[in-house]
Amino acid sequence: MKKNDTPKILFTNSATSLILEAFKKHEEEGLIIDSVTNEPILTNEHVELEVSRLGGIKKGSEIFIKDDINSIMNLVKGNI
Amino acid sequence: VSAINSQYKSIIEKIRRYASKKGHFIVFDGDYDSKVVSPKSPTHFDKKTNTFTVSVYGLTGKTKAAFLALIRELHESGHLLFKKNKTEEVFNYAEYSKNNKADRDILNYYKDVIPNEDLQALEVSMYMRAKAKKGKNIFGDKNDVRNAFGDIGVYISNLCSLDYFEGEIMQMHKNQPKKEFDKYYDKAITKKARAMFVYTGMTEKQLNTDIYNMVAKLRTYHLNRFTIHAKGGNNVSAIKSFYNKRNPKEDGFIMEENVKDTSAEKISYDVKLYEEE
Repeated sequence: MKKNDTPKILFTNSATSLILEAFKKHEEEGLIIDSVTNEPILTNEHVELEVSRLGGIKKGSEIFIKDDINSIMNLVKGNI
Repeated sequence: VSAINSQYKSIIEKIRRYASKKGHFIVFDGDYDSKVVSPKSPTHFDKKTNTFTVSVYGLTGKTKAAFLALIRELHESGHLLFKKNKTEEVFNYAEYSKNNKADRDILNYYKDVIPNEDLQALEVSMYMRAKAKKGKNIFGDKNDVRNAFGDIGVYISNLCSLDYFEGEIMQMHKNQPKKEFDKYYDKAITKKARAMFVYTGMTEKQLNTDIYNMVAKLRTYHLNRFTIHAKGGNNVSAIKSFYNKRNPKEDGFIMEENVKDTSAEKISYDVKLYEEE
């Protein structure tokens, strides 16, 4: 795991909307929406992401990571 | 426009400080009254874990704007922002991946032997198996596997949990020409004809339907047997009940308890067609 991929800045589920707002994103019908383009954001696997399944946001512009086991493994392996 | 709350000004400075310290964690907590912080008492430092928790509930005006800018700043400086309740999983997997030589060897063995998508599902399944052996709950992981890889992913996970990939599947690969193995793999794994797994909440009707569908697969794919696995009190009872109620003369198949694979918590049965078929 790369140094910067070690979780250090954490957020609770209830702080998700603040985190999203910092990136000019919001929730619409459960999905994370880009507030500028009004389009759903896509994960590194090119799928829409439900707010409840947001795992994290990584630098590399903005990489939205799902909180499922497969994505977490890929993060640790350096594939994201 | 409200001015930034002076208390929060100093909190933001503390966050910056802790963010640059090795082995320290920052938690943005949005609950009104979480276990550790609240708007009245907005910060808490846990010395044991070096974790600085900050309440971000109900932030408004310039204070909120300052936090939004801080979150961006932390991200821009290269920090990964991560969901608190999934953090342990990241560290657990990192630890597992350092010490899983046996599992890595198996995965390397199957590279270029099985489809890449199945290999990925197997990799996740092996980690789940290691978690389950430590007594950790993997129910949510199974749903993740289904979402990521479909039903075949769950089937691979179930086979992996019973060491099929170290056992029968590897033996088949070692002892048969590639063409024959590929045929076996297609029937047994891709078409899910080698085993069925009784799951929690499975109705009697569903159990019956699945067993007869599996028997039909034996005929279609000319396989000599499949195995039914059940783990846990209710699942074991369900399959035993089926076994006791069935009428072997009318069913058209043989069902034998696999004694080697039976204990108080689990049971398995081999199902075969009569030889004249």
